[in-house]
Amino acid sequence: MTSLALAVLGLPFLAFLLLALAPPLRRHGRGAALVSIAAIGGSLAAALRLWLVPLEATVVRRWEWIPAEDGPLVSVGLYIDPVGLAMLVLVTLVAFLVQVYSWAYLEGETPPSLGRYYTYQSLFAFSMLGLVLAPNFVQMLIFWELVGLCSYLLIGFWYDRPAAARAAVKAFWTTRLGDVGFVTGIVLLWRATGTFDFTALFAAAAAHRLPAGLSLTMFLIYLGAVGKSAQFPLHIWLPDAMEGPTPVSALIHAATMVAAGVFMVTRAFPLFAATPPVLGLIAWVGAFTALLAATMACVETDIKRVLAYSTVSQLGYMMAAAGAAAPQAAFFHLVTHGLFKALLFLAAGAVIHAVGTNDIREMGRLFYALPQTGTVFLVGTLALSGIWPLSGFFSKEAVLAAVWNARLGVPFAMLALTALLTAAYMFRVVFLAFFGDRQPGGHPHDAPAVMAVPLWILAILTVAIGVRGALTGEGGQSAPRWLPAVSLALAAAGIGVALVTYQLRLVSPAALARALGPLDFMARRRYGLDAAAAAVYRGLVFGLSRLIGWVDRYLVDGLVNVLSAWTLRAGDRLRRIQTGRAQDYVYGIAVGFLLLLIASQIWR
Amino acid sequence: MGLRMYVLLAAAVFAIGLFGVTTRRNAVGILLGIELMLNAVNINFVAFARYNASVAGMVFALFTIAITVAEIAVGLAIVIAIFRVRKTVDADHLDLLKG
Repeated sequence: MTSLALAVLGLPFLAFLLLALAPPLRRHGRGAALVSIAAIGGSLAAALRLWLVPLEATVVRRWEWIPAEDGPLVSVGLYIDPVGLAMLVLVTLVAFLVQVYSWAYLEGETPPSLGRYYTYQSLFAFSMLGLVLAPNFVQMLIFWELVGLCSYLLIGFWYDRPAAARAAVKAFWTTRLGDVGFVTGIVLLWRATGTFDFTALFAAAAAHRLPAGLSLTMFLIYLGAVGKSAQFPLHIWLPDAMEGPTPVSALIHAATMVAAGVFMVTRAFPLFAATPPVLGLIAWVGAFTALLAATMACVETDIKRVLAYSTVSQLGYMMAAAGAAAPQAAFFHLVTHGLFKALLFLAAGAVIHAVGTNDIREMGRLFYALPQTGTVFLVGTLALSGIWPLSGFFSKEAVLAAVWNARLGVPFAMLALTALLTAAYMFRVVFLAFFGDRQPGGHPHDAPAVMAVPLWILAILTVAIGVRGALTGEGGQSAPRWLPAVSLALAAAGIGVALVTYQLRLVSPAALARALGPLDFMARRRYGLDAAAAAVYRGLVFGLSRLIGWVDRYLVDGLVNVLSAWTLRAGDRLRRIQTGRAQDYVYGIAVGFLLLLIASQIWR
Repeated sequence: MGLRMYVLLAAAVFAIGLFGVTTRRNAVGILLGIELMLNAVNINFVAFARYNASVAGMVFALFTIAITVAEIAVGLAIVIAIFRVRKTVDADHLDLLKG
């Protein structure tokens, strides 16, 4: 058990070490890719093996790290429970498929940069797996930051593009802002309870022995998830992260970076459950994020950015479910969304690969040119829109049911509206890019098998989870009877809007935009949030820089300058004592000796 | 005449020698001053040797005289060497150590 889990965690790390420490292998490119893919493949096999064996109880294995007088202060180890195992499988599966896919997608890269890419990929997989297996907040924080670092490295993979470099820094800074809260929250929690360990904390929570007044602490910890999982108002980094290679976007959006926040909230849920105000906040912010991002997705023309906003929106869904005290619904949606969002991104990558542009206005009739890619994209879109019997339908319904049951009326309404918008903007992409009447330039063709196979695997899994859900009934949430009908109707309405507007062209998009004038205007400008964030960032950073610059220039440098000026002047004065005449020195010695003599007589 | 008078004499000779060393312009004069200071020391040695009825002080005085002769020989040689180069033995002009 433990050794298998260690294998899951250790293989990508070994691959990373090997690639990082053996430059000839890394610069070989394809060789590095093989090492990395083999490692993550082995990791996937071990994770599957672990997952298939039923788990009786949570297994926790710890090794002492920082010793203290009464028991270790911090330990490292493994925390294996069903949620963690499912997450392990999701992470290794998506990472494996993404790495295989990248083999073909990044064939144009030079061997050294391909090797660099796979080195980062291995580290990324290791970081995320370590986060999933963390048995305490400290280990989680360490891997949490590693995940952030890897995102930075991979988003900025094409670092010679200014936009990519900027996006990487933006992602790093924005998530770091949330992490400040996370670190502070962890330390406050430690001060209140005296432990970082999940087992101890959960036991205390179950026995209602948690100290009172944890709301601020849990809010700060939640801030970490706000940054990582792109919740309002820190969602601004995610769309910009599209500057990275498409497989990286798939990985970040499906299984790693953004999933970390939701996973942390699900993992630490017993603690959040002890602070109802924070839970309420999580639900409201989640629902608001979902709606806000959905409206922005409706006006984007970059296929990857549409998907990015849809990720933000779906993360809002997950957070809303967690806030409605249904972490299992949140986690279910995390898994299904991870699969079909990876599918959508990889399919979008195949489209971009074929057409050579991200702009959906320059695409058209691609379904006939790329039948395979079109089919899997359609499967992903249907799942994301929540159409029966695909996986998205069940997880989305679980989320909606949880929010309804928690009596969160307004968030429920926002999420329902989001469901409609989701179907609308996704089918807008489908109709514009894959159908319609515009002929794209060039001769687009389906992706090579190395890229197509991961797509099909993800598509089959998306369908399979859905069919399994349809056969076995819903996942435990007691949903109101009218909910499936309503959510299907909402999805159908969204599809209908897209169909009427973009396929049949009964209503022109421009007219629709005019009808929703102010909303359209605001959404196109991203509600000014990016500008506001940039202004705040500039204000803070430049203000602080100016202040520090002033202190450095006038106080620190000033002190040094004054000291050196005094030294110079004093030296110049003292220089004149040095007359060069031996007699003066003798005189000095005699007077000095005399003074010493007198002094010795006075202070005897 | 007790020990006190010898010591006072030695102090006076030493002070005169020091005054000469610090004020004379001529390098030869400075050497003379040094000679006076050394002899003040000799007076002390001899006086204390008599006072303590010990011969060590007298032996020391003999050593000092011998070393003084050598020192004067070297000192005068240096003065002559300086004179050859600088064409002067005026101490005020020998300020190569000036900072």
